[in-house]
Amino acid sequence: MDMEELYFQSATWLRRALLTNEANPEALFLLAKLHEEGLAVDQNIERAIGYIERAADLGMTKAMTKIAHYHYSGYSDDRYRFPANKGKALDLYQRAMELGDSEASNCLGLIYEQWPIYLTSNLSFEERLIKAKECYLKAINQG
Amino acid sequence: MSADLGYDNAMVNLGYLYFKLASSGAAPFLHQ
Repeated sequence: MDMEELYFQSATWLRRALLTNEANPEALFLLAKLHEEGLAVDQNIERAIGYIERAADLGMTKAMTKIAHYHYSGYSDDRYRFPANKGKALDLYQRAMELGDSEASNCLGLIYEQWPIYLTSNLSFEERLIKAKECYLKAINQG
Repeated sequence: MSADLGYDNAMVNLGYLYFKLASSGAAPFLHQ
């Protein structure tokens, strides 16, 4: 079995899993990875984002963080445009951090430290650094 | 099944296993 076939088998079983239970965040998240990279399926970011959003809605914290990345940076290609929305990204990072996602905590720390223009609250330089420190420590503790 | 033991769904487990095999580059060894 070559690599392409392995990815094809992966996609096949993940789709079957979704047919039996469409509220399966792990299957949604992995299928999204396949579509993001075009691994044995069509490369389709719109579809990938749809899967990630569904996984996030089901409470999967790493999906919340992943969709937050898309909201933070936005995405566009010839066929599809996902506009950046920093406010949504911050809300999702915050939610994922509160639910224990260390990557979200680290991202929020970076935003507090380096990107004050994206913060809704008016924090002083010192307040921002204190917030950033809290986020980084949280990320470390969340492992 | 505890979340620590894997996804509570054999089909997802199998899909993930194939994904990991493909990602790891272990494919050639499957023929041995």
